Amino acid sequence: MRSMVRRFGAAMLVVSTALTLTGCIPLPISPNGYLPGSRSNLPDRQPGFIVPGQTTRAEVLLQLGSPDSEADDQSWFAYSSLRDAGGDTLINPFLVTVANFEMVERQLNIRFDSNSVVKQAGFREVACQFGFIFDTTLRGTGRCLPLGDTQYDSTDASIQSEVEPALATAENSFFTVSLPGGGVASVRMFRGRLTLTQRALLLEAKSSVSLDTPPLPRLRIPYKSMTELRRDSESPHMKLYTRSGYVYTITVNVSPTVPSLFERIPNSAENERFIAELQALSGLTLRGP
Amino acid sequence: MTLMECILRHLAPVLCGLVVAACASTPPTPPAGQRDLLQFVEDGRTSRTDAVTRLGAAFASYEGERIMTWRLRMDEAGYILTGQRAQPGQPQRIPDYELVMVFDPQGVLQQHALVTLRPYR
Repeated sequence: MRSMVRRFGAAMLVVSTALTLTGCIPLPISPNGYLPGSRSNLPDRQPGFIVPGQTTRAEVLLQLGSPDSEADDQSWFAYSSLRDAGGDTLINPFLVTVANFEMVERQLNIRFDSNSVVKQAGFREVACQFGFIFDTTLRGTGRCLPLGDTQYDSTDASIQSEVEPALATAENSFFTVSLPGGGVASVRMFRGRLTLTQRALLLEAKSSVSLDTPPLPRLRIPYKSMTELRRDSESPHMKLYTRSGYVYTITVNVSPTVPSLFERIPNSAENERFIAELQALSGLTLRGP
Repeated sequence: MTLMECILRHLAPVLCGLVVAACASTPPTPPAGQRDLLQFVEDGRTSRTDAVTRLGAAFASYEGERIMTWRLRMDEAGYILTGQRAQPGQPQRIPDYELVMVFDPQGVLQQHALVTLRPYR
């Protein structure tokens, strides 16, 4: 009997030592459900009551409530939800925080015609995985929702159809786009070109910095949809707020050299000139520290 | 007096204080909701003016003021209006319900719904 206990004890010691050394004791992170800024009444597929050519704006509102973002002229509505589906963390002897979790993102976009009837509707649900080490987001899988079709600020068809000559460009700039609803999963980060035209700021992604989100977005933000331009405490970043609820963080870099991700872009005279031009064209004043 | 007695004599009030403090809690705020807040809402009878007088400024309006909505949360006593839309870029907490009212051209309620945005627990 005593030898059996000894053998069992020895086996347990070997197993626990192996687990500790490999750092592979996964502990589940329980799902936290919908984020505080997220609705939970968006179903897992396009609602059946939405029929293009039949359903009215009033019927959509009576079923789903006010949208999370909308065009100034109410020609499109966007509903979105963000749910923390949990994940796992690894206990290891080095006390390094390693975690992996999943966010489920849903988005329903509805466009209306001039008679307030649904013209087009689209629904997406994507499980987007995030990895953390030392509380730093390291990666997303590329399965997060792409921004290719979320050019919500570009709703003015008459302006879109115009050929817009560039007044100024900044080739190697950074920009992030935060979707309404908030949360770490709602941020997309890109490197690309900024262009100022007579009526809009164009953001053209050349590569994705944090997330692989093909197709890379080309966003057009008319000056008239901009509400506020604020300098971040981490100058030279700027935060641009728009009527649709989207928030853009923009780092202007007019210099032809491409800085690394963690390198601070100098607050050069060329960059300041680009920002001054943006203020003049948009009629907004850059505020902040 | 032994060392143990000395420690106990000095520590006892501290321990008692900690135990009492741990048990103390702020009195719960009385529920502020109104169960009958939406009782006046009736299709074909309620006017836009009635709605605004009783509920205040709408959370959102669509198609002019043909469609108006008010957001509400709930406590044990009933519904509480949650006020206005947050500024762009500011965090917006989604409350429990949204009252959507559709008015006819005369400003009389044609159709309404209490939409559950997040189920009240």
